[in-house]
Amino acid sequence: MQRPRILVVDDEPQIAEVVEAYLEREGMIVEVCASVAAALAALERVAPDLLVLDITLPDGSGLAVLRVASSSSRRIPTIVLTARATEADRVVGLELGADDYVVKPFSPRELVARVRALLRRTSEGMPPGGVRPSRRRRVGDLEIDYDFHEVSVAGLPAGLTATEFRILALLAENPGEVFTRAHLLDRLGDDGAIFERTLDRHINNLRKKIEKDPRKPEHVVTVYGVGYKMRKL
Amino acid sequence: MRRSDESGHELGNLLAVALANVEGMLDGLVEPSPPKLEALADALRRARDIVQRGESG
Repeated sequence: MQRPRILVVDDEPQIAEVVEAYLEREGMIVEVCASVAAALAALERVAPDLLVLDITLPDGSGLAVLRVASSSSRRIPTIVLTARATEADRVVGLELGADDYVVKPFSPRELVARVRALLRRTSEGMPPGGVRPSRRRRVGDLEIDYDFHEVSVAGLPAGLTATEFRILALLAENPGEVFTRAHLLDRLGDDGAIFERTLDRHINNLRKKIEKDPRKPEHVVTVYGVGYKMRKL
Repeated sequence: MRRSDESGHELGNLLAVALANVEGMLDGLVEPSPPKLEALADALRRARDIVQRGESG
């Protein structure tokens, strides 16, 4: 992997300098900004691989930067620096799409460990040179984009829910392999969001969105008495 | 409430400055020069003042 570029946004120079020294020791290229305006400009100029972002900045909220970093076509993995864990939960867990957080006052060693972990997570499958291959899979008229969590049917977006996407992604990665309900739930239900009685409903909804005739599915087919599989084309 | 929010934020920042710099010195990334040590002492004094204001207020 090429040297990762990290954009650090923090208005306290005495913190930013130390963070910069730690990240540079790890072989990373670091750019430091101290305001929302400078960070927005740097996002364009630097095209960072990862963003370390303080939420409280002198000219506004770091959330404005996060919004841009999360919504650009090339989403930038972000670690938020925050004064309160409750605020961090909201930012990371819900609407704004940060990947991780560190609560102030933080240890720079811990921050470096989190930066490395997030880079590792986001660069999985990345070849030397750092250019990520497009993680797409085409099955007949279906196109599954694993990076953007999007599915299109004959070029039109299918509008799958997160659960429907996870089911389809898992089946499509293993075409022809039969998944029992228990196996599917085991692979998908780590957060308890899917139960056996709702799995069939998710599958039915998925079929309505991706199959020409949901009653005669061509992609996600039922193997009677066993479970489901993605038809191998 | 608002004032204690601001104090908490300020306190967090001052302690972050102190922790980052002391760890940096231990790891050989920050030089323990007199001006740097003076800046750290200043951050800790300001943190102390915030804590004392909170206790008296």
